[in-house]
Amino acid sequence: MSSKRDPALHVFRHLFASVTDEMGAAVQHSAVSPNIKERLDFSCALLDAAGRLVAHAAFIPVHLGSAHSTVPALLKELDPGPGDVVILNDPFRGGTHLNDVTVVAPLFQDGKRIGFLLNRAHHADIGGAEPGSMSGASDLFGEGLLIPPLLLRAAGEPVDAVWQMFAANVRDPEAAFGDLQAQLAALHRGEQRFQHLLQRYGPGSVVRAMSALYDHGAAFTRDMLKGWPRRAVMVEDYLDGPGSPKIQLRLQIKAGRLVLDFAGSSAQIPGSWNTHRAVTTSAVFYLLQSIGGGHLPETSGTLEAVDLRLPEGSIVGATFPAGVALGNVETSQRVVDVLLAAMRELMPCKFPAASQGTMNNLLFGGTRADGTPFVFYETLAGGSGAGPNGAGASVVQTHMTNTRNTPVEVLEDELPVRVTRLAVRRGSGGKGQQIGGNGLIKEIEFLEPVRLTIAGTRRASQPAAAGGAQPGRSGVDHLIVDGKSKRLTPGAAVDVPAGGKIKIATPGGGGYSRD
Amino acid sequence: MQRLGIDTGGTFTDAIALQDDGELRLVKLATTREDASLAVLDAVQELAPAGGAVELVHGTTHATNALLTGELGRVVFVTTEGFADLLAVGRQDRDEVYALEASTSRPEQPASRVVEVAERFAANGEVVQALTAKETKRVVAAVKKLRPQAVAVATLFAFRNPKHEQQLGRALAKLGVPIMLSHEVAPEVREYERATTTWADAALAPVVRVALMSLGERLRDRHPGSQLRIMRSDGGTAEVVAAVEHPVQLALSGPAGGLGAALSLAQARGDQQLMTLDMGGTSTDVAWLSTSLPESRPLQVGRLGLLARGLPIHTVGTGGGSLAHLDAGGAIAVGPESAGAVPGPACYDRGGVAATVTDAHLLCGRLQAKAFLGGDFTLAPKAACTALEELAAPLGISAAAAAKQVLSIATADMERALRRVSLAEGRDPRQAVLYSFGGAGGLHAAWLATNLEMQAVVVPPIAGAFSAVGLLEAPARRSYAQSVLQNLPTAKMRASLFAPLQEQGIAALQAEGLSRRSIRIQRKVELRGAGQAGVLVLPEGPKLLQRFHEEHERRFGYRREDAAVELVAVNLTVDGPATSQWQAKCVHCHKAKAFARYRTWFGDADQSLDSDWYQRESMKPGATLQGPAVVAEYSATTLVPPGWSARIDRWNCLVLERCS
Repeated sequence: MSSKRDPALHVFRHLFASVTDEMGAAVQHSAVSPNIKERLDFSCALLDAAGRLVAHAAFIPVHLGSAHSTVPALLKELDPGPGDVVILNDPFRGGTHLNDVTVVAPLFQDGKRIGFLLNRAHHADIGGAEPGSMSGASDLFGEGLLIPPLLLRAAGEPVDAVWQMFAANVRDPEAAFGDLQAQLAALHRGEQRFQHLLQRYGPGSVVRAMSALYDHGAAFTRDMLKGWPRRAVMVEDYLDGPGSPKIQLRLQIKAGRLVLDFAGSSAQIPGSWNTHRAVTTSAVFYLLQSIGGGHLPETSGTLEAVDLRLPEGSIVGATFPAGVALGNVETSQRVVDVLLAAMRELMPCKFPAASQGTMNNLLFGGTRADGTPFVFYETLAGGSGAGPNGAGASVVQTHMTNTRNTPVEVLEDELPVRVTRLAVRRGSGGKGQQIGGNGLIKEIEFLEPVRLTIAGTRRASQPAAAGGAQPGRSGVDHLIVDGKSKRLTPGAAVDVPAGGKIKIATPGGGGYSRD
Repeated sequence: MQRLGIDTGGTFTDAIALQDDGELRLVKLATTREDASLAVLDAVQELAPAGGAVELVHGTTHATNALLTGELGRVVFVTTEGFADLLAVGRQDRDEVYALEASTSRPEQPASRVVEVAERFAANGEVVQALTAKETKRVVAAVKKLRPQAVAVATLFAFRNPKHEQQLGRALAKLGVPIMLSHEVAPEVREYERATTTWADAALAPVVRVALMSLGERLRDRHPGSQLRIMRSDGGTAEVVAAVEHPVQLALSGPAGGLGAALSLAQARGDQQLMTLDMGGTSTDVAWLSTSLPESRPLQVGRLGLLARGLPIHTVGTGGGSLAHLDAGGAIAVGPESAGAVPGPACYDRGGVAATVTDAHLLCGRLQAKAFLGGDFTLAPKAACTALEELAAPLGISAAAAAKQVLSIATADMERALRRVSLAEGRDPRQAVLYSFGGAGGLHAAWLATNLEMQAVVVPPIAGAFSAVGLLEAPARRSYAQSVLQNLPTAKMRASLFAPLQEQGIAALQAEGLSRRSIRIQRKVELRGAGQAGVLVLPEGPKLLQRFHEEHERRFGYRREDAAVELVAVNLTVDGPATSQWQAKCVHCHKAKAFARYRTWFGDADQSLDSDWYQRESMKPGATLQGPAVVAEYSATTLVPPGWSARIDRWNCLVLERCS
């Protein structure tokens, strides 16, 4: 219950966001690897004492929609005190996928824990079978270094053993160290700023505001759901690859709540394509936030009115020790596709067609001429779906990610590669009254041998259209060695000799027609 | 020759002249939308009726508006083979993270007007594929066929090795249209941003050149022998012919005047670090400035990021006209929609019915119906009250309580902006003075200063037309930035990097008639820890490494002394003499006289207080007063909360200080 003298809710919304803004600036300025400093593949969040999301710097949806699962998981194992920082990446104990190294600091006032700060950043490599850590594994253990909730700092002092263990398990320890330091700097900055808020408004007001913002988010969603039709809709979609795993969804509004039942979805599979509850939840969070048009408070209260029913051990509700590296970036996109398809069924003509439905993960690693190792990761844009408001956007990151590309001039300055083509993939967007956005074509030549994986979906299927329009074109990836071109299998690592080339063509978005 | 400063704004064209008696004369005319030059010429006429020669320094919105509206010249874009879609691909991110239908903001260059050129450099500047004479000829023919009004050339790694761009530039010159080369426009790393800047420069050239050159001609027709100088985004001026050479450097010509004026005033007052708050009707500009090391950084126009350097302005969408509404969760929210100038806030009584920030000020007694614009314009408290009652009704609170919430939220949004430019960059606002100008800044300034623990607020004279004041005193200037990207070279090698820039800058200013001796040169280096993105800007000089590590710790919170330090870029600014019009006045300490007493709410505390109201125009240097009080002037209102005092200092500034 807020006190009569408390400032308005949106005052705290701005001030809490200001805390996460500053955390974000700290990471961006001091991180080392291109994936974090150029592509901004990280997120910052403020959570209340129960670990519920209260504010975030809006960067990467897949990080943020899962942030509220982190603290409850770590509190089962640890009881962090003042000056402690927890590190984790175990997807089944508060993480997303292993590359997303998460650091969490508790916030204390008069000996009482009143909240947490969280920073999650995608490290380009976290060990495992292949450079980039997102391919070649059959289960979680093969995907790299698994970090349960551990203290990275204890009462303000670094826990050297954890740092050493971390450094020993990754391919580019120097970059990883710089990035981890940047993550800690963000927590430090956030703590300082939060302390100022406590001094200024008093802990009572601040704690009440955190809880009020959460409740506010919940009210927002409940209000939004009131306008939705009551009938149930069923949709399904498939992932590429062996067995074409199915994602099935039944969506219905029941007693003012949004019931999302994924019963009928395929069981979890060997490999890295599974998603677990936290990541599936983040797709739901993303969809609700987007339907709210960016006006919803960025709190996990958004999810209060949602019943998410995930079959245990399924491809969308995977259990330990399922591999999840690509589920995070690929299957999460498919979950959004399924959710949007259900919305199109529920309210025809109101929702856009499917976007590219993949992140086109490009991973490679090798050794420079001077003997130093390198690892590179980036995700590639494609077409977005056309909708009632117009054509889809071309070459754009969609849904669960919004990372930038690495500039050619930065990439070639740091790695022995040469980008030879960067182009809009014309004609790849689905035709219709509104045309889907076009995908991207990117060609890269390797000056040193690399081990490379391209993990993208919508290679065997197409991004769906809305109404009677046409779907977007599938993506396709080629390896070109000595003038011979060969199609690559999504998610499988290959050796590329010096002088070899890859050509990636990403999917277009679906078209839109009012039929 | 009489010097005039004329700033074209969205609503008003402000003109200022320094008169023989040392006083400033202000003329405010409505901006002429169809041809902004008309109001400018009328203002000149009014300030110099005799028709004699004037030196007109002009803050223009031509470039900004052309970029925002897309009314640009027909550009042919020339780039490295394989990268025809460089501008269309952009950085691949979308504008809003949470939006069902993605949108992007990239230059709108039709694919049919792009010409690829077979050439390539490697990252180290070595030739991978040489540009042949035959290819050059082919490119020129292809470009010509597309009938360009201007050409933008941006090839990969041209900032490292400009040879190919130079070769193309020479060959294209015969087309007789502006040719912009990326290594000249913005010799910096990151191909998309450099190409965008070059594209914008080319696209603006046909439009801005015509508009400003014709203004110059018309000015000389009416006032023979006159000179036209244009304000650049970097806070300096250039003679019109030189200014339109690279019009992208005029992208933020307008707001730069205000920041320039703030810097010059800060120099006179001895404030080393300041934050500026320029609150208008639809948005608020904030900036962090330092008189010892004025910073320039890449510009943002709308959502388009440009590598053209300018004063570091950060804009947020809260202004006096921002609309208050109930969000779907039932809480009061403010903006980003605005009532603008038309219909305006409800209390303007011009058809606006929704509550705005201005209405909330009026209801809380922070504006008075009859003391607005010197009484020229009467506000309608009833309309404000009705609008706020409507907002408050569903919440079961009073209109006054809703108004307080609206003001608190607007202030928190501005506070977030001030935090972004200070604390997020590792700068301590407590070390800075808040400079408030624009009509509405003073309504929030002391409140913001309290929240940020700042000790003083300065409201300059003529706060409502401060940008024009900045035009009067801006020096002639050229700024250069050149990417280097290598381990920190020795001082001697750095000197050789600065040398060509310096030569270029001095030649440019000498061409404007300045003597070598009057030209000041400032050299800065941009450094980073090996591989990091965060760049620190330091003055060139001894002990660079040591200063870098100190600054790194201050800004980012830790040291990385084991990592190599890289020189990212060198910056060089050449300045002509600045004319400060800030002349100290005699100060006679005395208590100011209030003209009225009203109930006014000052933020945070619940109760409104009886407060004295003063007229700024009748206050002389040395006048003092105690909060709670309000100082009204023709185009601005400043609140002095309890616990604050105010005085007019010897520069005729209203200075608010926290009582200890």
